[in-house]
Order: sequence, then structure tokens, then C-alpha cells
Amino acid sequence: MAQQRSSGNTQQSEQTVRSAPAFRGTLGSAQVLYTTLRGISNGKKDQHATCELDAQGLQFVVTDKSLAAQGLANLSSKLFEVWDLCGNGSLRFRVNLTVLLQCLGILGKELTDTMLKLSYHDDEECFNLHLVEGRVVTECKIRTLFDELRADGPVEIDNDDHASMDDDDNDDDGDNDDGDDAVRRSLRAGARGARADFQADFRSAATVNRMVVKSAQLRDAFAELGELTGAATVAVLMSPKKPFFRLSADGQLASCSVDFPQGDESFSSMKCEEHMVRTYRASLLQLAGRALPFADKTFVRMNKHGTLGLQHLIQQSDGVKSYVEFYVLSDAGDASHLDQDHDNGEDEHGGLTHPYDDANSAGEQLASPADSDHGFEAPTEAADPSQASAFSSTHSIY
Amino acid sequence: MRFKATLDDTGLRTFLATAQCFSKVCDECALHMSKESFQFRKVADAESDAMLFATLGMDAFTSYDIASKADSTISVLIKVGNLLRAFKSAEQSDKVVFKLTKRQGVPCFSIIAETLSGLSVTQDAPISTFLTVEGLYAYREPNLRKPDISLYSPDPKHVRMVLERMKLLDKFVTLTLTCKGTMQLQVATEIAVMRTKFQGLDSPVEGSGVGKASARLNVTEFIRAMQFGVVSEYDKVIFCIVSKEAMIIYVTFEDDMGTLTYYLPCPWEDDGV
Repeated sequence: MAQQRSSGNTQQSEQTVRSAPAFRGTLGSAQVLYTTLRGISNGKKDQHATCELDAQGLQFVVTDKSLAAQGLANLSSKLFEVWDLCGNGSLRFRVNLTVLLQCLGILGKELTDTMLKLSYHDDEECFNLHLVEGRVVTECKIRTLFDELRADGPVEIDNDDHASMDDDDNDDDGDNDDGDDAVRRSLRAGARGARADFQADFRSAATVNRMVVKSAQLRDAFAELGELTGAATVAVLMSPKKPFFRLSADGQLASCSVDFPQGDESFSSMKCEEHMVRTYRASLLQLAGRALPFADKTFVRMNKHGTLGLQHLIQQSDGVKSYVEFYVLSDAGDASHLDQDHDNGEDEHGGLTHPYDDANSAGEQLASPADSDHGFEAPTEAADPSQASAFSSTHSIY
Repeated sequence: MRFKATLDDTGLRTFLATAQCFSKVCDECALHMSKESFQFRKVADAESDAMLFATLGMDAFTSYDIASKADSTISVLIKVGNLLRAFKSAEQSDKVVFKLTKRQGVPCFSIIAETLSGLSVTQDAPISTFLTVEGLYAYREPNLRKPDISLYSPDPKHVRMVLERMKLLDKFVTLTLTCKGTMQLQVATEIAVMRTKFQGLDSPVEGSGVGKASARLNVTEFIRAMQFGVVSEYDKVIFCIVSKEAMIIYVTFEDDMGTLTYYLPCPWEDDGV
């Protein structure tokens, strides 16, 4: 629907749309977008996210500068009162996430009564927000960056703890039993050619351990660990045997360990095949837990490479659901010294194990294909990291 | 010279709120007491160009006695913090007496209050200097032409919240008022333009006047000025713009006890939006 070109009158106080927007969406309440995006925010002024839109919905992706963690915020198009995406059905751009959150939160953090209209105009290359609450109207135009076949964020490597990533020749970390380096190298290579797809990489290795935990409990655990000064890494233990799920960290002056014992109503649907302990950078884990204050349940998974996947289910007071996922690569190095309970040499197949079968095993998952309210559909094609398609609908089906 | 006044609890609240508003924008201010009113005055200083004037009428006091050779007026400079501290200790009292005294040769305000437990507490707030008529002249309200536009402000809480968010984007915000009853705040950087419009605002002035007027303001100063909303019980709040000169925030306290007037200079050229 073409519109008249503006006459260029600078005295006009209203913005005149010069051409049909590539995308228009309306949300009755801005709360869901605001809360979900806060779940992937790191609070830094220069944090950018890649926004991907397609018929299924919208997805904001943030990749940590270390390239060791990636967060995804998903909103299904079904949550929108208006969802109008032109062109070839998908759209992608990069935007400053911190500025976006500042715009959304202009009238405070309670946005249940704030109506939100989003739009994107190709010619202006701006992501526009229009918020209405009562008689107060806020309009924001945020400049976007073109993001086609480019990595999320600068490809900077933190040489201190991911040194193996830089030097193929300088393999000084001995035997790396989980292929982390390979994963990271492929991610980095992939990152140059296309957006690094942590989701796809996570799925490329078998998921060994999984459980659903109450977000509130996980948040308490993260808070405990967060208070430990000088703790650079956190060890995550997932096992079919006691202690089943444990988070621990060593600080400068003290250490801390949080157990989630089996039988506690705090977690359900635990399916752990193998005793695994992996360490993760504490700062990245805290990022991955940003959504915990808003979430109801968190699906925790660890794959064969030791990559940790956290999928948080966020539910608004009106029942609207959205998801925040985080994938965190484990630190290179052997974490078995942190694993006091593990009896080396024994075959761990006790406890709640089920025959592992990626395609068939049923079990609780946060977004079942039958649940039409969520943003995920059953995957219809293998996720290909080099694909530029938006919204890789990869939900974990077992 | 002598000065002695008493305040009941509502008068005290207003007095305290006024002192708090001043404490947010300056360290030291002028007090000008006359038979008709008790005034606080802050003018442009090294830290900020903003000006603030408060006038408390006789309704704020239960008794009021003043005498001096200068036509029964007394003007002083005082550290607001001292005054605030002295009055805060009287916060719970029903009745407060405050008067001009001398302690060990130092002139000060003595604030005498009765606590809930029956104790009588006296706090002293030393006076920095007495101002002569010439000295007081430096602390006068600016002489501006009639505002181009005046509107009743939206909820100060909302305005403050929007300004706090905008402050994160840029140092300056453009305020635009229109005779159609809209108030717009806009901040623009290379990355984003954010504009918030409040609609349906009434005008205290009859007649159309100019269509609209804009002012480019320092966000931090604006937020500081809006702090009155946190500390006081206000009745009416009016925003005015005198183009290329100043933006004025005019606040009336409840029960006609007094008024507060902020002047935020905005000399820059602004085309408005």
C-alpha cells in the first residue's frame, strides 16, 4: 500500500511514512516483549542483537563477545494482534538492544497497559516503536544495522581462557575430551560466514542430560554463586546419580555448592544418561540466568560436548508465553577435580535413565508441538548454520 | 531586628518540602522575610543556570512576627542543608517555633520543637551572611516577557520517568508545548530518536497565543527541578515556555500555602519538531 511521499516540510510534527513498511506488528501489551528482551540483556550500552522475523514470529539473538555464549529471545507471531511481514517472508537486521529496552521502558517497567506497534521500513533502515498508554504516546526510531551473512558482534576472542580457539598449532591444553575447541572453531568459522548458530551446534551433539527446574530455585542458586567474590568459573554437575544436579564455585575466600536433590519438587522430568561435570565462565552463566526472575520453569540440558542449554519459559499474568534460551560453551579443561562424588571408573547407568533416542523419547519439554500458544513449532528441516533464515524453530523433541 | 514564627504540622510539611526542593538544586540560598511572605531564592551559580524561587504566604504560619529597620524585612544567605537538618528533627511535632537568634555571637535560626515523648529540642541553623538591599538584588526573579505557551503539566511522576530514560540517551531534551494541549519531550542521537507526547493537557490561560513553542533543556537540570513531585504535596503544576529564554515550572502548594517557581534557561535556537 503505497503512501504519498512527504513534501519534506521540516515543520511537520508527524512522521509521514514514505513507503509501505517491510514489517508491522501490534502487541496489545508491550510487557511480554520487554520482559523477554530483558532476559537476554547484559546491560551494556553497546549491546546489539540480531532481530530475525518470519511467519513464525520474532527472535532476537545476542552473542557474547567471547563467542562462548548466545542468547535467544523468542516471541511467536501468534501473540501479536497484527503481524504483517512483506517481501520474501523474512527480515533481519541488527539493533542496539539496550536502546531498544530504554525505549520500551520509557514509562516504567509495568507495561501491561501499554500498547505497542512495531514497524520496520527498508528505506529508512529504522526499527520503529509506537507505545501508547492512556494519553501518553511514545515514538522511537532506532537506527538498525544491516545484518546479512555477518557475525553477531565483532569476532573478538578473549585470549585468556579461550586461547585454544586462536592457535590451531598451539594445542597446549592436552586432550580435550568434549570437542569444545572444535565446536568453537567451527562457530568462529561459521561466524565469519554467517551468524553463529549455537542452537544448531547444540543439537549437532547428542543431549546427554536434561531436566526441568523451577526458575525461582535456579535463580536462588545463581544468586548464591554470584555473591562469591573471585569465582571465575562455575561447575555444573548433571548426573543420573546423586547429587543429580549441582552448581559449585570456588571463590577467593570461600567456596559454595548448591545441590538440587532428587525427589525435591523443584525439578521434574529429569533424564540424565551420564555423569557429567563441566565448568563455565561465571559471568556467562549469570548472563544465561538473566531471565530467571521472570521465568516460571527452566529446561536445563547438557550435550555431549558439555555445552549447556538453558531454556526459560516466561509467562505473563494473562497467560502469554515467550521463551529465552541461552547456550553456553563449557570452559576448556578438565573439570573432574571439582567432581568429589564421582567414582571414577564406574559405569553410570543407574537412576532415572531411559534409552537415549533423540527422535523418539517422550518427556516433558517446555514447548510441545501440541501447544499452539508457544513460539516453537516442530522442526521441519535440519538447522543449517550457514542458512540465513530467521527463527530457527528448533525445539528439542525427544 | 527580630523574627519569630510558628508552624503547625501542615505548615511544617510545606516548609520542609520547600527546603528539600532547594536542597536538590543548591547548597546555599537566600531567604527573604517580610511582613507578607517568607521567600527562598536561588539564582544561577557556578554549578547550574537554573533558578528557583519559593514564596510561603501567611497561611503557612500560625503566628508570624517580624521587625527590622529595613522596612521590616530581613534577608540572609543560609546553607540549605543546615536549615533542612534543623527542621527535619521537628518533623513529627505538631508545633514548631523558629526564630532569629544569636548563639555565641553567631546569628542563626533556632528551631524549637516538642517531640512526641515530650522533650523540647532546639536545633540551630547558622546564617552565612545578612544581605543588604543591594545584596538581595542579585537574588531577584528574572524579568521575562509573558510566556508563549502555558499548559498544566501531566503527572510529574510520568514526566520524571520519561526524562530519566531519555537522560540515558542524551544530555539535552527538547520540550515542545502546543496550544492543542500536547506536551512533547524529544531526545535525538545518531542511534535513535525518542519522542514522548502527553495529550489532553489543559491550559491555565484563555486564548490561543502562539501555536507552539519549544525549549532545549539540560535533562539533568530538568529532572532535578521535577523533584518537587517527590517531596511536596502540590496542587497545580504549570509548564510555560518563553521562547529562547526560559522554561518555567510553576507549582502551587496545597491549601494556598505558597508557590514554587523554577526557571530553566533555554537560550538556544530551536526549530521545534
